[in-house]
Order: sequence, then structure tokens, then C-alpha cells
Amino acid sequence: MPVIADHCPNCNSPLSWERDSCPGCGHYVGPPNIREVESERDALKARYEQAAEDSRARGCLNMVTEFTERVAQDSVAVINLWPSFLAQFLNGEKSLYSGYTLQTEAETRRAANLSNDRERRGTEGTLFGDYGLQIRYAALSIDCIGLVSYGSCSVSLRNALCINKGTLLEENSYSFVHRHRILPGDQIPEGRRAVWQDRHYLASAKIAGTIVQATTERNFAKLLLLSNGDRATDEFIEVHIYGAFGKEAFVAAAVPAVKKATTQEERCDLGKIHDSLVSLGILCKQV
Amino acid sequence: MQTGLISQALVIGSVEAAVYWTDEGLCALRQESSGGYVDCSRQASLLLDCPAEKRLVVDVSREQLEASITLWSRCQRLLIWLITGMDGTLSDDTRRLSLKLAENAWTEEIASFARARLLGCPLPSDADTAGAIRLADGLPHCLGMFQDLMAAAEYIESVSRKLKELVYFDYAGDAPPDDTYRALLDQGIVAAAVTLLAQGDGPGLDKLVKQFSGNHELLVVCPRLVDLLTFFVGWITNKYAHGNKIARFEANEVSDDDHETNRLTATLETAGSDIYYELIYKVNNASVTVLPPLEAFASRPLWSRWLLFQEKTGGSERLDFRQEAETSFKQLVKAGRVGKADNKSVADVDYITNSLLSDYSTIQQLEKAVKNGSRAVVKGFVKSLINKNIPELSSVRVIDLVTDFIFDYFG
Repeated sequence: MPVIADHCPNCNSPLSWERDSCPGCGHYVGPPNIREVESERDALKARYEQAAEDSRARGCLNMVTEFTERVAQDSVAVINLWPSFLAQFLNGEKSLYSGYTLQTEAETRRAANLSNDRERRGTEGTLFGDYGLQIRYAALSIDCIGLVSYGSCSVSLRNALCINKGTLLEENSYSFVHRHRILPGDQIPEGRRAVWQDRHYLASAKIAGTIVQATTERNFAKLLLLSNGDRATDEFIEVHIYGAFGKEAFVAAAVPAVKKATTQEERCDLGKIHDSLVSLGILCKQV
Repeated sequence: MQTGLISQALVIGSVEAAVYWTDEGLCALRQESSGGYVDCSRQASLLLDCPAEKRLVVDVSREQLEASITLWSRCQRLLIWLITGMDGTLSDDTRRLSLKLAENAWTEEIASFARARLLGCPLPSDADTAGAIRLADGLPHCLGMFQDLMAAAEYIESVSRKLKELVYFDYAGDAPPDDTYRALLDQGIVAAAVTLLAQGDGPGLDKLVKQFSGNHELLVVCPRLVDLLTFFVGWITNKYAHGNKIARFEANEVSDDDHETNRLTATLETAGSDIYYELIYKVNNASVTVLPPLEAFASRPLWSRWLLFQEKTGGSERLDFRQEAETSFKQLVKAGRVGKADNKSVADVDYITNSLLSDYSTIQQLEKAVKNGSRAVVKGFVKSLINKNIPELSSVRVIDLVTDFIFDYFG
């Protein structure tokens, strides 16, 4: 298993754990979330093996194995956006739209200062320290439907982005911090996070206990992610993507059909989304 | 700062949301379709990444922030609906619905914002204004806006560029220049100037200084506002209203058509423009070129293929070009109206394909524009059609010729 480098491989300067480059020579050392979680791979594998052993004793190892394989093959990171947000995300960079968009330097600078001035606060600070603002949240899904409580449009992200920038936490960060009573500066319990390549181990370690002999393949999607529109009851594995991404990172989308729109405004946004997804060559599933 | 105030927030009107800073970290809020507000802090970073305009508000209460989201959402959504109407990559259904929403949401307050932006920023090259006009049929506010945009389009780039130069280099105040420029643009200074230019309203230009010089919001960001406006209007007058153009502004008895002809002549001749000399060169050196392969024409509307044919055969340089154009155009219109083309009467049988329907639609729009609009509107329409379909023919002379015979025919 790889060990987190605490010195730059290029110039041997000490590395700060929350930075993605060497402070001495600027050498890129990788996203801090991945560097941090890499050290937990053994602990996660041990959790997974224990969960598999338990399921063998309960006579449902086959189904757990099937679930694990399904997650390894089909799972994607999904973000959820509301229609006007997704329509803007897809179209905002076209020159037709950006030509009428006036950003002002002062506002951009102020927004950047928000990032620079960030202190360790709240759940983000507890889990990520200074790089919390760099984290974009997604959820792990095997049917491309995400947390609809946060927006009716589910957008799947490219696997390559997740490999290069993504890590996972076994549940919502807020409830994770509260459940384990983690204070800023505390050690995060090992084996509860995963690099993207190990997501199936994390999913099985978390879910295996709920799989019984009567469980079928049909239940897998809802076992992995359950969202009925109420955020309080959402159950999911959280994906953390380090850094900004654009629509180029979108590989597929599950979007309500235009006829399901509840207002004319939403109908227009959904129509625009469907048209844009087609022209961008992004797979679109109507839900 | 008072207790309970949000020290700073970025309002993102186009997505009906705002990102703001609290002791708990970065938070976000969005307006739901029901009108209520819901927390969306989980998407705060994504909102910052979103390619959308962000507007800073400082020291506001939660209620004030919500009001700000409501206001800027209405403004930005109207603007985006109008832009969507010009988006040729979207389906007609989506574009038409977008324009209907714009028409229904129309109020003077938010329309002035949209107008200031649309007529204040250079028309993007991918804007399908002609399509927007077609789809805005029966939607008077939208149609009027697009017709004004079409008429003023040729002035926007240079006028907005000049204002920006003045703000950045000559009349900079304490405020950041991009803040100042956005304030000037959003108050409608560029839009007003280009509209007056399109209308040939010289006295109106003179009143522009008075109209905006007392604007308190602008005076805050630009203390030398009066000087800036005076110089700006002087520059516009000097650039567009010298020689014959001055007569055009001051002699109200001169017809619109004469104004337009004078303006073009004056612009070309007195400016010693490259276009003018290029035209002379082309006329003197006209030669018949080989026609491009038919496939190259296949995707073009019939009328544009006909024009291109004339150009490639040297037609546009011949003395009888106008007469030929008029005759063929009339036949094309006739053919379009009866739903079939008289192949022999149009330039060449091989250039007729099943694109007739779109040609007919274009002809209908042209006819409507002539009957409802000014010459400047028609010319803007023609220019847009030529730029989009046959950019290689986009010269002042060709645009003028086409406008002439279209105007004569339908007028």
C-alpha cells in the first residue's frame, strides 16, 4: 500500500497535508483528500473482509459478492442540481450566453478571498481543514439517480475525474462527524473512507450487514442510495471531488421528462437541458 | 455590522440562488418554484463554479438577501429567456417557450435591464437573431426588442468598446473600472446610444448627457460622469455623424431611405474606409470564377445559394445585377408562395432542393419586417441572414443591394 509522502519527491521540502503541490518547488503531489485516504486502504480492506465473513455465516455471501461486483462495475458519482442550475451549467460557457455575462473583478476577488480566508469551521473544517472549500459533494449510485432531495436532475461524473480527484465517505459528512463525535483535530476513524478504486469495498463494508438471503439484485440500487425527497432520511455514500469541474466532466444525466414539469419555467429549463445534452453528446435518461 | 447581518453574499440570479458566508462556513440558499427558499449549502462550491454572473451584496439580513435573489433572478431569467430565443442550437419548441415566458414576465423594471444588456453587449457571432424574430411572432415585447437589436447591432461593438476604453483609461475613479463599466452599461447608456444611432436621432444623442448625468448610482462609481458622457457623446457624433450624416441628423424632412444612403456613402467615402477601396478594387477586377461543387450549396437556404451563384459568376459586379436580382427574387417569392419552384425561372434548376419551406419562412419574415419596421431593421435582418448563411458575401455593397430590392419589392 502506498504511504503518504511527507516530503516532496522532487526537492525534499516538507509537504503540507492539505496542499496539492510542494511549497518549495511547486511540484504537483496530488489532491490532499486522496493522499490522506490512501493510508487507510488496509483498514478498509480489513473491514470489508470482516463483513464478508459475517455474511458467509449468515448464508448470504453470494449476494454480498454480487453486490460488491455490481458496485465495482456500475457505480458512478452523481451530483444533483435543480433545472435552472443545470441549464446554466450546460449553457453558461457558450459565447451566446457568456457574451452577456458581466463578472466584475471586485466580486471575483471577494469570492477568492472567501476561499483564502477560510478557517476550520463546521463539518467541512473538521473533515478537510483548509481545503474544505475545494470539495464538491456527490453521491455514489448504481442507477445514475442521485439525491433528488437536492435537485431533480442527477448528473453522473466521468470515472476519470473520480479516479484523479475523488474519495468517498461512508455516509453524509454531517451525520458522520456527529455519529462519531469527531472534533476538529481528532483522528478520523480508519476504514470509513475510500479512494475511488476501492469504492466497492466501502459499499460492501457498509451495506453487507443489511443484505439477507431474500435480497435480490433489484434491491441493490436502493441499498446503496436511498433518497425520497426528504434530506433527513437520505442514506448514501458521499463522494468528495477535489477542485472545480465543468460540464466536460458530465458523462450522463437522469432528468425529468419535460411533460413532468410543474411550471412553465421548469418546462423551459428541462427542454433546454434535453436539447443541450443531445448537442453535447451526453447520455440522457428521462425519469 | 449589525448582529444577524450577512456580511457578504454572491447572488446568482440565473440559477435563483446565493452563496453567503457565515460562522459555520460557506452556505447557500435558493428560491423554489413555489416562491419559498431552501438551503442548498451542499452545492455552494458548485454554485461558485457555475458559469453564471455573480453579484456581490454586503451587510444584508436574510430577508434582504432573499429579496435580492428574487430581484436578480427576475432580471437574469428574463435576459436568459431572450438569449435562449436566439440560441440556434436549441429546438424551436424550447426557444418559443422561452420567449413566451419572457413575454409573460415582462415589466418595465426588468425589461430595462435586459434591454441594457442585449443592446449594450456586442452581438455574439452565434446569435440567431433572425430566428428569434421568427419565433417571436405574436409576442410584441420580444419582437420589438429583437427588431431594435437587429437595427442597432452594427453600432454596439464600437460604441461599447469606446465606453469601456473611457472608463478604464480616461475617467477612472476610485471604484474598480469593471464595476463602473457594468454600472454604466446596466443603466442603459450604450443601449440608448446605439438605439438613437439606429434611429438616426441626432438631437436625441445630445440629450443623452442630460439624461444620465444626474444618475446618483452612476455618480457614486464615476464622479466625473458628466465629463465622461460629454466626451462619449462627442466621440459618437464625430464618428457617425459627420459630413452627410450631420445633415441626416438635423434635416428632419429627409426620408429614412435617404438618411441610410447618405450614411453609408458618407461612412465609406469620408472615412476613406478599406471597405470602400476594396469594393472599387473588386469592381475593377471582377472575374468569373468557377462555381463551387453543388454539395457545398446543399445545406444552404435557396435564396442564399442564388446570391452566391450570382457572386461566383460575377453577377454582383455586373451593371444589371440589381435588375436580375429583383426579377429572380420576385420569381423566387412567387415560387415559394405557391409551394413549388418554377425551376427555369430561378437561377439554376440544380440549386433547388427541399429547403423551399425555410426559404418561404424567411421571405415571410422579410415581408413582415418591411411592412412593420424601418429600413434600418430590414437592413439589419438582411445583414444577419447574409452573415449567417453566406458570410463570404457579407460586404456593405451586397447587403445594401439586397436591402434595396427587398424594400422596393415589398414596400
